[in-house]
Amino acid sequence: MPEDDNCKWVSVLSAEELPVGQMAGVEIDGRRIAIFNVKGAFYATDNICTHAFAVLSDGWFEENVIECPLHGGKFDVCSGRVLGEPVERDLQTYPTRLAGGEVQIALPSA
Amino acid sequence: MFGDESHLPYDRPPLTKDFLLGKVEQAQLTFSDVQTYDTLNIHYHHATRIVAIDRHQRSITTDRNEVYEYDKLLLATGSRPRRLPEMEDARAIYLRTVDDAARLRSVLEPGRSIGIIGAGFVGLEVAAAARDRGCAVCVIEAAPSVLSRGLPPLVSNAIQRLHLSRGVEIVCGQTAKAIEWTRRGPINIELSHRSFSADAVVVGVGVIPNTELAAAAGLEVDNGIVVDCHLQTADPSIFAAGEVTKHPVGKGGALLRLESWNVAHKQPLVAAACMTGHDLVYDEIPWLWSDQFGQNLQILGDVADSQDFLLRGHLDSEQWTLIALNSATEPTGAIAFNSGRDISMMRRILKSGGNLPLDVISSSRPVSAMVPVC
Repeated sequence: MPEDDNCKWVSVLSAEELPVGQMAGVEIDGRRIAIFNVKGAFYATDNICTHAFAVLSDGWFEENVIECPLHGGKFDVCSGRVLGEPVERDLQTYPTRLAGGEVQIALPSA
Repeated sequence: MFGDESHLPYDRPPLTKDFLLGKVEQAQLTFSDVQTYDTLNIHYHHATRIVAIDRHQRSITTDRNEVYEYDKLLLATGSRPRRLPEMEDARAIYLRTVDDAARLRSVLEPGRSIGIIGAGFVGLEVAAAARDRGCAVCVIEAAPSVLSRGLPPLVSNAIQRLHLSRGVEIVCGQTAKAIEWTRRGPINIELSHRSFSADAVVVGVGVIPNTELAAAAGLEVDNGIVVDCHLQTADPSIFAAGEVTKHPVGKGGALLRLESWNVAHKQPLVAAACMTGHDLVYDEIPWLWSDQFGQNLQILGDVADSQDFLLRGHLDSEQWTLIALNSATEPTGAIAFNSGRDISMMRRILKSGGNLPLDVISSSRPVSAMVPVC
């Protein structure tokens, strides 16, 4: 997603709420989004698996990989890329930034 | 690549679930299109059955009497539904292929009555889908409880409660005394206490591995094609993968045939590597899942022989995990209901041979396999 006028930055949580190796699920504008802390860097993806309806933040998060709780599909949370079957479609990712101790993500403004 | 179905290879798990609910269509189940196979230089011969293997000539013969030579051969022949003599009528639906599932889907209309013979995973998943489609459902199981094969009564009870709460009728401990098959109209199933009039009857009483080709070729077959950890048969040119294999499992290397997506998915990767000169070992921990009424049950490792479990959560709640222990109280497997994170955790513990984390032990309570806990 381009970081331009077509997106808006939204604060989702304070950075200190999410230590390294932790994740959190948030809901913004009806979108369910997962926020991950990978070695101090924050990443955001859709929080619903692309394979079946499952909340990824109920799964197992290790280093940069989220494992879906339902059928064990794996994604790289930094890129959204599929790492393991049965998943076939990548996850939508969102740009993130830190602003005044807040983690912000960029959502399409449309 | 040869297959006896007329379709390109497809994903089977949705056939008892989302496909029946109309949430996915047949085209979405197909793994790759024809073009992809072409690009990969894979020649797929659909609707073609292999009738013989000549190990001496290293060749196979099709049902059209064509002969193909091989350097290495993979048998991925899967299983077929076990058929019951009293359920041989053309109206009995056995579920294995997408064609079977399409036929079943066409009868799952609101208000219809569906009789299901067998309360294993297939029977219960179909029961859940049929209820979700607004059908009346009666499941008839010869064993004293649902899912009785390889699961403790604790779990059978919990799953049975789920189905009863959603309006599925479950009749355990008996078989149909008689079935009156009609050409059209209702099928009458006679039970000991009443009769059930069904618009369709689905039979899910297990599968039989398709081992005939291997057996006829003189390969070792014992309720599955026997392979080693490289998925190689005693003939170094022939490998087998998927539900048809009887393969070494766990530290003890006991030979097991496992009916799950996991072997169908992971074994071919190992077999293909070994067939092309790599040295890979299949050492996956057995794992399967079942989705019923939007609830997710997962079974990992060895749970069948355990008498003692640690329970996280409550069995009558929407989320719980049973950790199976052996006689030395070491973890051997887990059964998780809507708690996939525990499966991820247990997979890591079982792989590393490690102990359970203290917080897991302190937040669990010991239960016996035999005592139903509420």
